[in-house]
Amino acid sequence: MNNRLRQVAATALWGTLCVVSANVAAQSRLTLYGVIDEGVQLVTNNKHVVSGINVGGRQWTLNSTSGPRGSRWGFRGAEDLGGGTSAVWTLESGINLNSGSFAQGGTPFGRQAYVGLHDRRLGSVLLGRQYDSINDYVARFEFGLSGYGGIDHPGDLDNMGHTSHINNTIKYASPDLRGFSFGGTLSLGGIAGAVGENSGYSIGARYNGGPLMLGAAYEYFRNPSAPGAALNSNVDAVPPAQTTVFGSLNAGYLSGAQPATTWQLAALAGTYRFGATTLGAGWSNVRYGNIGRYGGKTATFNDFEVHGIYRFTALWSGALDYNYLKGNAVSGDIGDQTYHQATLVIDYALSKRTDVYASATMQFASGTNSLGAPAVADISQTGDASNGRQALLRLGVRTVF
Amino acid sequence: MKKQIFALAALVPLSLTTHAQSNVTLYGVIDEGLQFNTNNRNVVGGRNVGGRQWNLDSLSGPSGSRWGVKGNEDLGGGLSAVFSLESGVNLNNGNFGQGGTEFGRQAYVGIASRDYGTVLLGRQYDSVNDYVGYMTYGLVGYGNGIAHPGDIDNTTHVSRPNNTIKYTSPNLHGFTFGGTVSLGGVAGSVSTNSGYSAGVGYRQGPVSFGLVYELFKNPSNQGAVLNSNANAAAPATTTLYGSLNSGYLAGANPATSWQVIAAAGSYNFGRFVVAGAYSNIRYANIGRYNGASAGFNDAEVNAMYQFTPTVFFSVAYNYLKGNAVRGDVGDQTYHQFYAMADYALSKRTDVYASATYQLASGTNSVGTAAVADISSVGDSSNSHQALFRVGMRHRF
Repeated sequence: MNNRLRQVAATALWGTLCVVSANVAAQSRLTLYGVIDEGVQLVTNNKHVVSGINVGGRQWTLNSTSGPRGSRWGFRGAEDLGGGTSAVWTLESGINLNSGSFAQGGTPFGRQAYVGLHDRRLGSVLLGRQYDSINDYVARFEFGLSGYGGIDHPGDLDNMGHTSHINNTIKYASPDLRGFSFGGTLSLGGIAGAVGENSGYSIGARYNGGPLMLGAAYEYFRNPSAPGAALNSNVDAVPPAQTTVFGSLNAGYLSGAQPATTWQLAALAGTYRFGATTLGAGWSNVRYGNIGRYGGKTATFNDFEVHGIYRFTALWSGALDYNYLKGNAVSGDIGDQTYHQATLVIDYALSKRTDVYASATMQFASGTNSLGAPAVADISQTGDASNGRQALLRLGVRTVF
Repeated sequence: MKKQIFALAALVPLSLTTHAQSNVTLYGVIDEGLQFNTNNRNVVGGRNVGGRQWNLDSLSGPSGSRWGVKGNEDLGGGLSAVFSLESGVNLNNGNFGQGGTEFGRQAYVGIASRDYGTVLLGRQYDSVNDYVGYMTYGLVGYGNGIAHPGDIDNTTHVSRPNNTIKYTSPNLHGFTFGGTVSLGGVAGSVSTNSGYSAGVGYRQGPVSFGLVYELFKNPSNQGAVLNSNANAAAPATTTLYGSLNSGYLAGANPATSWQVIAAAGSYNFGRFVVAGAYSNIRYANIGRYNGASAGFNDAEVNAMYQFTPTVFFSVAYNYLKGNAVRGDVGDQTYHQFYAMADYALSKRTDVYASATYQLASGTNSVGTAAVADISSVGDSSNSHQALFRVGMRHRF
């Protein structure tokens, strides 16, 4: 293609105009895209350490990384190779609007970075830093990624909010087979002399039956909190013995000198849509295996959520979510902890690409956390509250480009 | 290589019509591969026992993954303003390449004149890259990207000099010449951390050749030529160098200069291309060895055969010999064999498989038995190492 034509095509590609490009330059696409989601937040009883004691305190902040959709920009491309096959790639970067730095612990392309081949009949093979099967087959039916949530299950311990982006990952995703699709990932640990260390895999399947959608996934990662591994994969990763990325909910299992050597997830979720209403429910089981601190025992959690989304008018919508997380005791009372979390969101669309919203989340914690202290609330990993209660209020604006 | 012209938001209508002579281009290469290393560094109880390694890699394939923005503006009278910002990408952890340097590959601005040549300022390649490196197997279009051991002569541009002013002549009947001056920027000592390079090249029809000389002072100081990335640590604490040359460049009294003399030539027979290169490297005034100089000589031959328009096969052999700097220390020899097969899915996308084998002998720069270390992935536990890679490369 000559340069002039390419110039016109690529100009048309900008943002949402990429449909035009399909006509002008069918063989190639390049798109710059993103979401900016910025909010004012009030967090009651946020972590506030005075003389070594977390006394808690109110916090007002601006936040662009933990709203309904984390702020990001990226570019992606596709080249038609003929016969239904194309080369595809994405580089996607999270942005902290309020400090000007990259999100995901300062990782430049912290959200996604991959390249691969896509075939209409055979599916896709993608290589790079990418989401696990929980994201691809289950989380999309849960509240966190519904476009209204953004508030994770406590500690995002089942990765439904895809806080953990998996490095060194080879992914296969099937095409849509009459509503069914399936796939999986294999993540290489890259450790010389120990192929299994820091590695992991995930598999999942989903069904899209019009109003009914269902998904299931299983995943298993080794040495999950080692630097670079599944739960500690950002560029600022430090060894488990020094890390502070985990809250007291599961820090006792994942940080310290002898953290869990495995992390396993099994999850199911589904949504049902009728008229202006969408109802969803999900369950996940989380296991941290072989925790050195607790004599090699396994810590288990079960999480249940139900949510509903209702479109009042074309512009007004709202959502309600309730989540229940229960940790089982790993040693004595330790780990026997319960978290209730409820969120209400009201959203008003200013245009197809821009909306404003208000959300309120409340979390109640009880029992004994992973460190053996009384369980404390910690909404969306803003930091351990000083006691069992925390509320988070957010007023935000979001634009998609 | 075709490029997408990508007019930036507000400029879109203007740049296409009223300012047709100005453009901004978004471009890049994604080159991702699955690698198997037979004997990579694996330290257990203070001893490197080696081990097999499987990993994904997007930085050391035939083309290091990158994205960039470049532009030019026609200033009239044969002059134009040019710039480039180019960033390496590690697809597998989301980080930048070049030790986390944002625009680690290139970042420059300058003026280009049709008649008088180009002056560029910023972080950019040295003359070894411009006049010799592009014919060596690490950078040549049909090569597998694997550098000479330790990229000791920078023919694969692992080292990108900061603070550099470059002049490149226009093409004079196939000849071009040019050079760089890199400022050390150290107050009170103009020459500390500084350097220069000069080269001449010829490309006409099937024939290419080039000759360069470069000299850099305090090469392993932070910010200087061999330690120029954003994560640079002082020579005393750096772990940047393999045992091949760490005895010369790391530690309390590293070499105070690094010199490269290199030449290369290639001939294109059509479907068959052959090339050869030679370089001489000197690390001078090494404190650890009482101010002695360490010399290396490197020789490479490579060849490519284009079977069909979509399939090529290429091979190379490299020989690196270090001379003793004291006693046996530094008397080391490296043989490296490369092969690659490539299949083009389109003009912009290809898949490939490559294999590299390295064999080391003698005594390395720190006085122990020389070990293999392909592409600076890490010292092998013994004299040999093989690296296999299957990958996919896409240009945009």
